[in-house]
Amino acid sequence: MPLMRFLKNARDVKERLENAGRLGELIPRIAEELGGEEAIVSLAHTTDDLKAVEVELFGKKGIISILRKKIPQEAPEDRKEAGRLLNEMAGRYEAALKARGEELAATERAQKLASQRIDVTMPGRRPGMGRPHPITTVTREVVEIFREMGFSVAEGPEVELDYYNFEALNMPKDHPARDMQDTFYVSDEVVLRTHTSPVQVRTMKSCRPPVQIIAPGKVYRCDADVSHTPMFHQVEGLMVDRNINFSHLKGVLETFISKMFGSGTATRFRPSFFPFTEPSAEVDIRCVICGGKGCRVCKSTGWLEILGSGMVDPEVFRAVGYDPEEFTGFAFGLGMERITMLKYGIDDIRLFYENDMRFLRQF
Amino acid sequence: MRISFNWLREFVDTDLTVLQVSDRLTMAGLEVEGLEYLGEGISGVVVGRIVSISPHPNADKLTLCEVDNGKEILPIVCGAKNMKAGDKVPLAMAGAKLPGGLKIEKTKLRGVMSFGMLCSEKELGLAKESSGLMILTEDAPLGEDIVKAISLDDWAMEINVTPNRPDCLCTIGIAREAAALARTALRQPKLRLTEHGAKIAGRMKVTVEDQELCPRYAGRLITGITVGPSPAWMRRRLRAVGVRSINNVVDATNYVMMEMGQPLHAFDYQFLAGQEIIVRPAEEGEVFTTLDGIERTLSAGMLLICDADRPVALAGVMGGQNSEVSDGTTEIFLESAYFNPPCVRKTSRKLGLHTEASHRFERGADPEAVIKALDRAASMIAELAGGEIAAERIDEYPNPLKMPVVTLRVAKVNDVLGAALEKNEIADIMKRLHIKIHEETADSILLQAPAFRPDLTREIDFVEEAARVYGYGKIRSSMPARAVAAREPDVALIASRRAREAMHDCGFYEVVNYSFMNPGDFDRLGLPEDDFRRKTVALRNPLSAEQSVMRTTLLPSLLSNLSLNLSHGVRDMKIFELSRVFINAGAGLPNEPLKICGLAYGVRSASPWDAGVRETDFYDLKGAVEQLLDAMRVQNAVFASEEGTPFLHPGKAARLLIGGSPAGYIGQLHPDTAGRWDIPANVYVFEIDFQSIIEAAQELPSYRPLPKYPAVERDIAVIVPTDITSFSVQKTIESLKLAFIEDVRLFDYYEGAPIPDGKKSLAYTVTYRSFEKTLTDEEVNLLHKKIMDALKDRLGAEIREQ
Ligand SMILES: [Zn+2]
Repeated sequence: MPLMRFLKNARDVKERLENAGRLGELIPRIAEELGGEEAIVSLAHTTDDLKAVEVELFGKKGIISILRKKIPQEAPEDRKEAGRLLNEMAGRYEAALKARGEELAATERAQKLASQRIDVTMPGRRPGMGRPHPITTVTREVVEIFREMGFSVAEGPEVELDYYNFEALNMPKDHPARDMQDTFYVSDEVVLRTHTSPVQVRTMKSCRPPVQIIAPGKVYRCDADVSHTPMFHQVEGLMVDRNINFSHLKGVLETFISKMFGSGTATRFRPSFFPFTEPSAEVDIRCVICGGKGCRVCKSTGWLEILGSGMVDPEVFRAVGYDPEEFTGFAFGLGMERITMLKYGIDDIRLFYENDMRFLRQF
Repeated sequence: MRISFNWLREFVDTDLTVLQVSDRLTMAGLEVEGLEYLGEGISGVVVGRIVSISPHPNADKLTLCEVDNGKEILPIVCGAKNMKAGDKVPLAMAGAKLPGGLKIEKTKLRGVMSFGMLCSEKELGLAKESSGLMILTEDAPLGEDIVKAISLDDWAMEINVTPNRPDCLCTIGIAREAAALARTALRQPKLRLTEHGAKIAGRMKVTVEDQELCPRYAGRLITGITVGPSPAWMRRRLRAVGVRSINNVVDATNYVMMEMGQPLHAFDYQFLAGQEIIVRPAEEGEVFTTLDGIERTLSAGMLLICDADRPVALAGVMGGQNSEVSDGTTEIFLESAYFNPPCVRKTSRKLGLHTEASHRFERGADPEAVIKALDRAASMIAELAGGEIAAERIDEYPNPLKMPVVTLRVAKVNDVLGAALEKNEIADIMKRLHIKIHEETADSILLQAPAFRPDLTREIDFVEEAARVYGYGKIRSSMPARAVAAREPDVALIASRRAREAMHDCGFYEVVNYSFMNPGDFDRLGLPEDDFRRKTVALRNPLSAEQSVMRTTLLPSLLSNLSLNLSHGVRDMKIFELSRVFINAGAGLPNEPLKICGLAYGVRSASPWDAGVRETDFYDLKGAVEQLLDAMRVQNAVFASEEGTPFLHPGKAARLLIGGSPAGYIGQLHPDTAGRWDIPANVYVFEIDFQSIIEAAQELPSYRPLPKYPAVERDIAVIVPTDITSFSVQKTIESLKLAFIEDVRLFDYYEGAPIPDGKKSLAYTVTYRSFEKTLTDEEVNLLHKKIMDALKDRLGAEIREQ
């Protein structure tokens, strides 16, 4: 083993140093005997080996140290030269040791890291994350689109006076339009709101135009079957000011539809009836499922009804104390379940309220 | 409203296809929701005539018919018995198709070739059940396609008629719209009425006692009739619009109603006591049996049709059993009237009795159609059931109803629509809709709607007519000038978003449940009688007892959610709901505070291969709540132990105080409660009043400069009795109000040997820091000693040597 031989050599050299002659001759010879700095460092294959070499050379009892102690014993005229030779030799060895040391350290670190391999394909340890209910997500999206258009959020009670839910919206007690909404009653005068429209009335009663609100919330109808749940979510919108007209209604809702369903979504405004708007319009978009060819979802019509809207009826303005000759406005309402179902392709509305984790984790 | 397209075309002269008509109606507000081809699925079926019938040689139950299809005579094996030679029947020949996908082939039946099949109504999809072959009328053309021969070459149009359009609850009404949209003329049904014999006047007397509830009452007397089945064409037509055939008299009244929209009622004349009709308001508590056999208790405000002795009909809703037309009826009094819409609606609603008649009267029938419909029905009955129509008619109409005359400003139309319609354009639309133009000025039109349009009484109503006939699609879109409405920051919206996100960050999924709850849940939760959560808002007409009150707490919904998911094998679940509850406040509307309720259950680690799996516990949920409060910037929240919450584990429950006021609870579910929901007991729940969170939330955190001098940390470990809370240790330290204490943090808790029983060890790191200088060891030692002394003195703590 070359290292062992070197160490033995070194020990032999040290023994002979005790009764050595002039250093000026001795130093080159020693260097020759030990081998050049290149040879020495190449003997070391680990940092421990290198350490051993270093000790033999530079340790307290190392060759260099012994030689250094000998310099004062030299003839004065030779000391300088001996010193120079010694320093030169020490410098060469030192530099070689350092370089080899770095080389070995790098190799050893690389080997150590390579041995620390883990299986990166094992599943990660998650901090845990929850998700919003899909209705919340879509409502938020809808509300944000309207907020960007300048609408603010308004709220109202879910257990509502018959007056706000019906009468102030031009639906007196014996109006046939009440048939359109199966109502949960708490008493003769108190109902579960059947739509978010009473928020319009409350808002207009509390402030003067201009009014530009959006009112998301839960609404209730006494109805439960495969396509109806007794509770669902609507977003109501209202804009009232001077010179607001049907053309604006179209503009705002078309903007909404292009942001919600993608620009280029074909829309149509179809006359309809709501007691609190006139003219009234239902808004259809080109069926997102079949692209208009006709399918089960659009009942073969190629169109999907997604919102109801209209110009606020003058009777409603009278009920809240606005002059219908001075102000005009439009209102609209969207069903969140329907939009959410279209967006995600959900085919059963009842899934929203079962809260099955297998469903909720999908959104 | 179901309409037959062929029937419709009797009144409109148009080449438009059913799809084109449907599209125009839809785009004018009469949404065609469905189209059904009546001959759907039928092909290769013709009118055949049975030439002869002989027994099947090999089967008793079958017969062998020779059937003429107009071109050849085919042998057909048949199982029916109701036919005879000479009858015309539907013949499905080889290759024919029947509804439901049945295909007819030549086939050998018990050794005899059959070249097709003779059909029953059921096999043609015309009836749910039939007892034999469909026997066609003698005039059916031999060999003609059955679809044509029995009027199946027709479309049923299902039209969604909005409540403002009673005029469109009949074929003529839809035809009128279609004609207006197609700019073509409307044809009225032809009327041929022949009167006979004595005048009605001496034989029938009508007195209307309440002319407000019954503005018009008319009638005719028809004698000598024979009640029997209606002819085939009548039955087919009624079937096309979804009306069941009863007998020729009732069918005639239904036919006229479906055609003209006017409900009619026929009384058996011989049962009208005193030969008179008195129209009067009902008395409170009066009892009357309608013709569906149900005895009904009436109330004041309802309107009755009576004879001399007793009520015979509930005006505008349903006739009575006592005067119903039956097979033996020979004389009828036919009623055609206009009743006050709200009165009919109140009656129908109070009695829960919704009929074709009430549906039309409560929306507003046409007072001017009363006579036309009466005469048309009378002539039809005379034609179908024989008999004679007595001369003249009764018509009590003392105060004819008048539609208001309304000024429509051209500018108003364009202001509302944001369009530029010309006056002439508007006038033309009005004319097409049969609206009378009284006068035109330079910028307005004086209009009067026809009596069949009770919805047109105000200027805005006419604006809508102009818009819908002009076409919404033609009105251009534009964006309003940006409104200057002052915008309040949407505080609640932002707060609820932040709370949801905080919960999601803690691993909680959002659930949304119905706002209803089962009042039995209060007992299941063990709530005392005076608990505020028992102050419910109850529904008068709930869908079920389990959904009969509004929620006062979200907890039961979440427990049910867990229960459902456990049945699907869920192993861990973290959910929350942010919703309103409804607390009955006595008079007025209930309070609707927002609550946030959470539930955590099951294993805590998210990697199945990890050895560090453990069950979720109280501190997991508490950590989530702390993080929620932190996210909401609530700084004055305190958890205090609470033994008295009946549905929580008494040792593992806390009350949350925000700013010193109770704001909610957190804890492990009481095992008894868990048992009642059939879920495990290691379920942790919280419910917090969200308004309290919003109010305590510090919107803007105030900035503090970063420290310039280093902190010194010193640990302190104390042994205290187990009932001393960590909170009280912290409070004791805080109460010293020592300068330079930056933070006190629990870092270790231990119970068990060598700590004596009844005691526990708590270890804290106290962080000292000055903002003016570096604290010396001596200064810190002094402060630390004060803390140790206080804990010894006040809590009896033993200081553990480090
Ligand atoms: Zn489609």
